[in-house]
Amino acid sequence: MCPPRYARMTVNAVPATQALLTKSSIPLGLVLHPLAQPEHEGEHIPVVNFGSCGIVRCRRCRTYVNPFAPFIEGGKRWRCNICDLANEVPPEYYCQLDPATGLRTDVASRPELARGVVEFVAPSEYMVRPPQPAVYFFVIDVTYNAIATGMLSAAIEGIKQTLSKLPGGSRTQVGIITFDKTIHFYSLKSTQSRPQMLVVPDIENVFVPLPDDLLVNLRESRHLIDDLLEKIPNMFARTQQVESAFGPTLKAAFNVIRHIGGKMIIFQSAVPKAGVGAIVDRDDPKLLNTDKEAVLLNPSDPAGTYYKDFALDCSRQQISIDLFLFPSTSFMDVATLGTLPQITGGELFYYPNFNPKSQDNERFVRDLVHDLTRETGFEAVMRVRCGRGLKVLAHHGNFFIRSTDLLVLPNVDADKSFTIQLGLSESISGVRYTSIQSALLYTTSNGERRIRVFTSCLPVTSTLGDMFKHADCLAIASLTGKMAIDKGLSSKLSDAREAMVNKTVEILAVYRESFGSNSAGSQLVLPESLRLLPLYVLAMIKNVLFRSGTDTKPDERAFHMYRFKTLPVEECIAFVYPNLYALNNMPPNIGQRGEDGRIVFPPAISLSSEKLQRSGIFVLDTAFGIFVYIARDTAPNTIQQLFGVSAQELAGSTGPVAIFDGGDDEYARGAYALISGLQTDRWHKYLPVYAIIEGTPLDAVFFSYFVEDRSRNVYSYYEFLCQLQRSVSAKVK
Amino acid sequence: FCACAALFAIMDWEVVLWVVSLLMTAALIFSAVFCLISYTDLESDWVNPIDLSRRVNAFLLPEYMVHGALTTLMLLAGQWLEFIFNLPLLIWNARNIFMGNYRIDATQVFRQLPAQKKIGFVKLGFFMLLFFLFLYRLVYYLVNNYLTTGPKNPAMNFAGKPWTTK
Repeated sequence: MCPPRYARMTVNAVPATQALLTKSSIPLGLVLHPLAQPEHEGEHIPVVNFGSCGIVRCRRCRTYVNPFAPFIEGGKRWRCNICDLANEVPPEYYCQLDPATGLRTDVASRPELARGVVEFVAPSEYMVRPPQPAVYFFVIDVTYNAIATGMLSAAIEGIKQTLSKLPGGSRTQVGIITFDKTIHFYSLKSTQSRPQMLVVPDIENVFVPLPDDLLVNLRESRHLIDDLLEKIPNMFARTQQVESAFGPTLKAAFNVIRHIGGKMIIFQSAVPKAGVGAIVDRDDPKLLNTDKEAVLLNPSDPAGTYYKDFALDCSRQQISIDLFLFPSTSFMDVATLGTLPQITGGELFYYPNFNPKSQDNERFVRDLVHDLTRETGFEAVMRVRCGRGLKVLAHHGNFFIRSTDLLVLPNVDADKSFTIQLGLSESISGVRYTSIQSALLYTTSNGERRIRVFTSCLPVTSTLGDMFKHADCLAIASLTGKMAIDKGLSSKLSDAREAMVNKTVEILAVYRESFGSNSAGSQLVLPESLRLLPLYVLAMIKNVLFRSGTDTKPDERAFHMYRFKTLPVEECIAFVYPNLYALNNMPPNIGQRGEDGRIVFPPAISLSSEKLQRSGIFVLDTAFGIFVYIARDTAPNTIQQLFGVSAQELAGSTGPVAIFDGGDDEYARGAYALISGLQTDRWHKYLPVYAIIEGTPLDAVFFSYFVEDRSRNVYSYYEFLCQLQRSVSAKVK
Repeated sequence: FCACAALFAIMDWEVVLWVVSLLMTAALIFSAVFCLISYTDLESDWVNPIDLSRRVNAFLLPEYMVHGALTTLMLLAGQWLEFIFNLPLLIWNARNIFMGNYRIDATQVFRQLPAQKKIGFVKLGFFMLLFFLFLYRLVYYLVNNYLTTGPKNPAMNFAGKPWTTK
C-alpha cells in the first residue's frame, strides 16, 4: 500500500456499482501530496535506476510496473493491474518466481515491486529538452507604495538571505527586474565590475534590451548580485512614482526567461494601474453578504483574461509564478491576480497591513526562504491512471490540465497537494481489487529527471457497511471543502454552505436507513468512522472561506480559497478545526522528543470556550498561524519571559510577535517548546505567532475559531447536531 | 457590371432569398461540425486546450453573427415561421454574449466539455433541420412558380416548360 501521506483515498474501498456509490453519497476521491516530506529522519523514497532495459511499463496503458501487478507464466509475463494486459518481461528484467508465494524471488531487492512509493531515474526518452537548471527570477515593485509599506527593504533582505541557500548547485541562475511605471532591467554579466541598469519606459511595446546577461549564473555573478541588492533600496528610497505597470512587466520578465523556464517570484505592493492588465477597483462593500459576492471572488474581465492567457503562456514555457502581495489598505483584486500562481503551479502569499516593524518582516522573510529552499520539482507533469471501473472526474489544486488526466506543473513543491475526484466508469462487481497509479515526472533542483510513482491497490466492495467502515473522515472533509469552494465560486457562497450541510445530511440519512433502524427516532446515529464529519462541516461553514457576514474582505477570502485548494489533508483540517492546547496541566516533557524521536505534544482540547480558564496560556495551532491566548489572570512574569515585553505593550501589537525561550518561568518554557515543536516537527515551516490578551479587540479573531460555540447567527455544535438530526429524520421518513 | 445590374433587376427575389439562407445555414452547419470535431480531438489528445480554445473561439462569434443576420433576413423578408423558429436560438446567443461566456476558457475547458458537446450536438441538429427547411421552401417555391404555372416572366429561360404547350 502506498503510505497515506503521499496518496490518500477518501474511502479505502471502492464501491462495485454506480448505484452503491450514489446511494452512499460519500464523495470518492484521492488526495495526492507528491513531494511530501518524509515523517522520520531515516525514511526516504527508494530510487531505482533501470539502466539498459529501460523503465518497465505496460504496453497499452503505459502503467509503471508496481507491487500489485502479478507476474505470470513463470515470470515471463506480467499482468498490468490497470488494463489487464499481459506484458512481456524484458530479458534483462526476468527473474524466476518462487513456487510457494508466486512472487519473484528478487522482490526484496527490487523496491519497485515491493513498495507503494518509488522513484525512477528517467532516461532521455522522458525529456523534451535537457533537464533545466534551477532558475529564480525576481520581479520587484519599487513604487512609492512599496517603499512606504516597507516591502522593498523586506524583499531585498529576504533575497539576500536566500541567495546562499538556493538549491541547484552551480547551475542555478538568477535575475532581477524592478518596475514602477517603467521597467528596469539589470545587466549582471560576470565580467563587468558593476551591475548596469537599463530602463525601458515604453510599456505599450515591451521589449527586452539585452539578449543575455539579464539572467546569469548565480555563482559567477554573485558579487554583482550582492552589489545590486545593496544599491536597490537606496536607488528608490525617495521615489515618488505611484503607478504600477505590472502587466507589461510580466511580459518583459516572460521574455527574459522563456527560453529556459523556471520560477518567477513577484513582489507586488501597488495596485496595477498602468498598461495592459490594469486592475479596476470593483470592490463594492454593498455586495458582501449578498448573492453577488461570488463575483468579487472570481477573476474579472478584461484583466482576468489577460492574466489567464499570460499564465497559460508561462505554463507552456515551464515558468511558474509565485506572487507575494503586500496591499496597504486598498483592494488588490486577489481573485484576478491569483490566477497567475494557480494556473502555473505557483503559490500566492498575501500580507495585508504589512508592518515591517513587527514580526511581519520576519514572517515574510521566512516564508520567502521556505518557498525557495523547500524541495522543488521543475518542468513537471503528473498523470493519474485508474484501474478497472474508476475514472477521474475533476481535479483541485494549482496546475493546468493539458489533456485528460495530464496535469502540467511548471513547478511542484513539498507543500502542494492535488485532490482528484473519482467516479465509477463501469460496474466492477466481479473484481476483487482495483488499483490507482499516479506518476509525477519532474526535474529535481539538481537537474536530474525523475519519476515518482505512487500505487495503491483497493478492495472492491458491494456493501454499504464496508464503505462506511473504510471511510477516511479527514480526507472526506477536505474534499467536501474543496468541492464547496468550486460551488461557491460558480454560484454563491450560501449555496456552498448549503451544499456541504446537505451532503452531510445525505450521508447520515443513508447510514441511519441502513444501520440505525433500531435506535429511537430522536437519536442522531453517526457512523463510527465519520463521527467527526458534522464537526468539520460546521467548522468549514464558520471558517473565513464560507463565513457569511460583512466582515470578511473579498481579497482575504479569495486568498484563502486559492490556498485551501492546494493544502494537504492535515493542513486543511488544522485550518478549519485548529488544535487547541491548554498549557495549564502539561506533562513535564512538553516539546521535547519522546522515546520514538517525535516531539511530545499535550492533548488537544475541543474548541469550545467553556474549556478556557481564567489564567493560563492557550495555544491555537491553525497551520497558518499560531495564536497564543493569554488569559486575564496569567502571571505577568510569564508574559515577560515568553514575549520579552510586558502585557500592555503586547496588547497594542496587531501583527505577529517574537517569542523567546522561557527563561525561568516554567509556563513560558513549555509554551516556547510547544510552539517550536509545532513549527519544526509538525508543519516543517515557520508559523507567525500572534499574542492575544483576553479582553483586547484581537480576541475576536481568536474566538472566531471556536466553532463549537454559538456565533452570531450560526449554530453551536450541539444545535447543529440537533438540526442535522431533524433533517435526517425528515429525510428518512 | 451592367449585366449584373440587369440580372439583378429581373432576378426573382424569393429564389435569391432561399438560396442565400441555404448558404448561410450551410456555413452554420460547418461551424457546428468543426466545433464538435475539435472537442473530440481534445478528448483523444490530438490538440491541447490552448490551441483548441483559440480555434473554437475564432468560430463562435462569427457563428452568432451569421445566425443573427439570417434571422433578420427572415424578419425583413416577412417569413414569420422561420423567424420565430430561429428566435429562441438568437435569444440564447445574445444571453451568452451578455454574460460573457461565449468564449471557451482554456483553463476550464475540461470541466465544460460534456456540456459544450451536448450544446454542439443540439446546435448541429437544429441547423440541419433549418437547412432542410430552407431547401424545402426553395424547391417548393420553384416547383410552384415555374413548373406548374409557367414562367411569369417570358424573358426568363427557365427549365421546366409547361407541360401543356408544345
